[in-house]
Amino acid sequence: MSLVSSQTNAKRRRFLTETARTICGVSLLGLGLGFYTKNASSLATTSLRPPGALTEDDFLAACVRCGLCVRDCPYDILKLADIVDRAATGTPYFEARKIPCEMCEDIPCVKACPTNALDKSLTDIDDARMGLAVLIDQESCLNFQGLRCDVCHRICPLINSAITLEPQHNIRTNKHALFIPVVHSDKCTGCGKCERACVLDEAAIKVLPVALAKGELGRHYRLGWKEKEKAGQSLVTPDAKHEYNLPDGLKYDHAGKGLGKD
Amino acid sequence: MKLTRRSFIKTNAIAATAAAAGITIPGINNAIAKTSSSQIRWDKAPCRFCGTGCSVLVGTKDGRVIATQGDPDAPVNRGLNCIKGYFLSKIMYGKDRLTTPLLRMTDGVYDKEGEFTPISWDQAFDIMAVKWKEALKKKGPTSVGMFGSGQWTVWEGYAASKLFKAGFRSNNLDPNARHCMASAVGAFMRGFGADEPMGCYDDLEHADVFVLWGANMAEMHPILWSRLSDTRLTKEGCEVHVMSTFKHRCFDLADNGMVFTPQTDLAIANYIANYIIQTKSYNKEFVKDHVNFKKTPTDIGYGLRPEHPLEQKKTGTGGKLSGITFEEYKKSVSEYTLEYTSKLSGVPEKNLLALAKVYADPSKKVTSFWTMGFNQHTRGVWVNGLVYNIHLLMGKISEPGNSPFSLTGQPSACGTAREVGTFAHRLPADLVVKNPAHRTFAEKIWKLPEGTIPEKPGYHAVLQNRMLKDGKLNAYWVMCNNNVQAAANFNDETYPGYRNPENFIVVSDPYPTVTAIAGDLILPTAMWTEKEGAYGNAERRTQFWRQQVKAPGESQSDLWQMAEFSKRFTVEEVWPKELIDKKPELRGKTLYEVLFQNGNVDKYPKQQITDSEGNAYDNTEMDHFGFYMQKGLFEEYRLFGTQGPKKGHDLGEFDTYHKARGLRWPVINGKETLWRYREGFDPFVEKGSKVQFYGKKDGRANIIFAPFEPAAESPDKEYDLWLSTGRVLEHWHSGSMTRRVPELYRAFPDAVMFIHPNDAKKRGLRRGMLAKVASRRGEIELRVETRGRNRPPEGLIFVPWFDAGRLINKLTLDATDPLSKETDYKKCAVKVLKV
Amino acid sequence: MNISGVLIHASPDKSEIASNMLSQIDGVEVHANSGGKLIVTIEDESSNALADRVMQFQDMPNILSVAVVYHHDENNIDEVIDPATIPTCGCNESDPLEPTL
Repeated sequence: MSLVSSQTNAKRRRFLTETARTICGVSLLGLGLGFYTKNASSLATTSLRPPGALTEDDFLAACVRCGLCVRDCPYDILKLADIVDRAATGTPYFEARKIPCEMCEDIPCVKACPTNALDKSLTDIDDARMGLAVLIDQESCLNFQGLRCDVCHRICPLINSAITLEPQHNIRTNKHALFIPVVHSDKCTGCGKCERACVLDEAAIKVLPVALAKGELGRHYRLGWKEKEKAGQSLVTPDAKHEYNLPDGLKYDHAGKGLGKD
Repeated sequence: MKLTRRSFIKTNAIAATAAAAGITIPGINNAIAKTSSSQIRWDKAPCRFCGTGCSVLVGTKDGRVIATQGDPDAPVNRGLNCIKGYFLSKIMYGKDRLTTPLLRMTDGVYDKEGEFTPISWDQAFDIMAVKWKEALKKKGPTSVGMFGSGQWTVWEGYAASKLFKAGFRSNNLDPNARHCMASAVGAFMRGFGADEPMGCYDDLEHADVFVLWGANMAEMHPILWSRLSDTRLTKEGCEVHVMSTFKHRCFDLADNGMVFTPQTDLAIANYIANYIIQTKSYNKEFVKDHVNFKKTPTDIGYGLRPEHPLEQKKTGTGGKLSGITFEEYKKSVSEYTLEYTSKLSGVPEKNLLALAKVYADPSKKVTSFWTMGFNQHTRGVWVNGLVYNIHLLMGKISEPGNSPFSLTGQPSACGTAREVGTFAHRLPADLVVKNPAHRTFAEKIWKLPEGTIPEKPGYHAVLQNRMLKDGKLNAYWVMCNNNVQAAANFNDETYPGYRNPENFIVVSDPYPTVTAIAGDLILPTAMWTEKEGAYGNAERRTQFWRQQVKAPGESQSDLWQMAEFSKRFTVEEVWPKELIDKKPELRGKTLYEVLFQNGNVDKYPKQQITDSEGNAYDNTEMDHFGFYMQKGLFEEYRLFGTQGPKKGHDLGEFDTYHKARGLRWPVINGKETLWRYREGFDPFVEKGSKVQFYGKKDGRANIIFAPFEPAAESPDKEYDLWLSTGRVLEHWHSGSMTRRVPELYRAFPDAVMFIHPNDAKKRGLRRGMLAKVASRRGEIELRVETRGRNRPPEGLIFVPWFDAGRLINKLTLDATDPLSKETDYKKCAVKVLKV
Repeated sequence: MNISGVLIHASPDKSEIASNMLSQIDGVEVHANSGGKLIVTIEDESSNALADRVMQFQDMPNILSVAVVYHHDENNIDEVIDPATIPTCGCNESDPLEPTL
């Protein structure tokens, strides 16, 4: 658990204590809160929380279902869950395929939140992590077939940063490149524009809650080239110069292309 | 300091509270920083697993390897690893790691039927010395022996060779590479007079066509496969041809995938040679200048016990070659027509023709790869040679992209087993015990009296098990491998020898493997980066690593164990008087003094080992013995390459290897050699001769005709299916390391039988059901798998051998190639029954 | 297991006494005292205990205010942190390491 979220937890606790003091007489509400909190884990995969929402358990504990964020959303994107919705009743959510987040610069929904369930420390909307776009169906994604769609890439508010196109050799045609959309989790805000825009009948790219979408590298392993990039140099001193027995006119590049012409 | 979650969280609590108060507490931020990755010490090491030889960076903290990463600066893998390499940091920390010697005892004394009881190293060496001396006295040097490993470090193999071949004067030393590379070695020696591939991994980028003969590179050499695949994807006109007895993952990339009937690869290779000659495509100039034609004796049996009916029936023996003319060779291969070969092998004519055409096309560079499909073959040396024939006919050899390339299974099958010569018939740098000049040279380097090394080759791996069973090999040490699980015919030939009351079996291992618990004394052993080491991979690349951590408990390295054990013997106890009289100065000395304090091995004094960043490293053996033993051993070993009778085996100086991600030998004046035998690339080739196979006296390679002969055991009415065994990507060999990594275990928990859906249906079996597989030698139960990575044709099943709970070697036959003595693990007859 | 970081303001001239008194309590440690600002950690088995402690501190002499800054609740807290820590391998019905001879 990181320091930042621990502090948020502490704030939440203080708030809960204070809230408890003010509403302790309203036992019915207290009971109700407990009931909803217990049904915490049933958020549908298509339901995304507003920007700045704490992790789901913490969010449910802190959200008082006041609806202020929904009221202040200028585009009527956010909804409060009904008893029939798969989010806990009374909590705010949105669905990317229906209407994605517009990523307001002043983030009015967060400002409206009275309890820090939407974290006030979120001041730059690019730092929001409402979900994570996942190219979930490569078999139907047009770009994976070699077609030049890349609508998701072009509509992305963080184009070439949250979604990039990685060219690859097209084995089938042997003369074209495939442009493979790649989502970068350190940049994607989860706004849902790509899912909304996907031209297929059913979107091939979908925004999922982060916890559902992200794998995690084992802590016992690092990607060598990334560690090297981070350190700005090899972690273990590069080799002494290699020399080779070679015919005239040829050279051998140890770190690069191997055998080549001088 | 052990860092717990508690102290970590508390440190955070203090830091957060102090920050809120605007107070700085000295040491706190440091404490937090120290828990970050910046405090991990990184150093390089080759991966512990296969013969590819990927380099990894090993992250050590507080005396423990906590992380690894692919080494982005390593030419072999450029920062990538396969899934086994990804979990390297976990292999040393299995929950059942052995930490103390264990002896079978009853009431405090050794008892073959007793329970494993912890003892001290002194007690362990005491009982070993007693048993060794008993055996030597009773039956002489041939009653002691050792089974070693292609996973030993270079100097461990070298020390074992000295200890047994010189110290105990027993050639009964053989590595598990006998099960793996012996056929490749045999063919290299017969064809070229020098072991190991002429090419290097750069062939993967330079070839236009790849042909896989019995190699599932996609799973067994995953990083090389990704290089091959990339060439296929990016190079115009690149083709991949894959041959196997069942469909595996390499077929996904294959332009020409061919499933052939087991053993008919012999015919296919001869058909291609025939096609090349019939179409007059062969390289006339190359054949005229660089090749001799030979034939080999035929009907040579199956390397079974002499009384076996198959051995009684044979008419030929051995591998003595006789010269033939090109015309005679042409005639010999002419019976392997397209029609005949297609019918015999079951491969459609058009596929065989497509394959023959790429070999015969002078404009296409062809690299052939093979591994166990060829080597574990009762005609392994032959079939290796038949592919050399094709390359030699076309002159497609010893240049970038044109390479017959024998891939290696183990991380140091080349570096330790083959180059050091830990086989029962070999000495370092391609020398052999049979050759008096070679023995004399070794004795000179080792400063021993002439006649120390026995002339007769010792018991090879399969023979060792037979001799244990027959009570002729009595004091036996197994190191760095799991041969009870690995050797064929467990019930009849392996287990009885280990439990033979006449025998004392010592097993050195980090974990309680099947072999360890079948033995009498288990020695806890340091592994991988718990010791300083060196491995040699399949492209002749020698790679070093420093000791990163200390081994747990009382574990010690194989090197430490052998050197320490040698202190228990004086020369008078192991050598005859006549031999000692030739060098009276050795009188009264221990084997340790003779072998390891000979002025070579103890030449380099104790020093602090550091890297270029100034990080300090342990060296347990140096601390214990008082000198830099690894360096002394390597520098002495190097003399075999630089001064020995066989040229072209030069290695670089010890220190240079610690500064490089491996060097490919021969290393001449600091320069590596990429392609051997080709002028310009190889400094040993004389000017103007273009190509010179200098392992042979006349500089010519041998094209050796060998015919198709059937397998030792083929399916019949009762045992109606072929059984092929092998590996899976997730597990290394017998699984003693990878099955202790929970994630790898989860990824492929237990061995299954891959079977054709129709074969399953015929036997009333469905996918996932438990079924019995039985051969004439044993039976086990396995789950049925009709889908997934391996798709056998009807009539064949494939079962991996990594699973200690389902020992497939209870079924396999101990038939070997009579030339290489390597077991054929790919062919025997079984039946599958509903349980 | 709960671990909390608590900032306590004590009367600057009496802060040493307050610090000593706090240190007497089980699970309470004072890590710094800077002009009456005390950096304190509390370790307890249940989170209720934290509230009790805070109330207790507030009632103690020479203590002016108590603020919980950091709170963490976790089980298995004495596990050695080590990415390479190997959980045991008994992940299915059969013990994978049990050879059958």
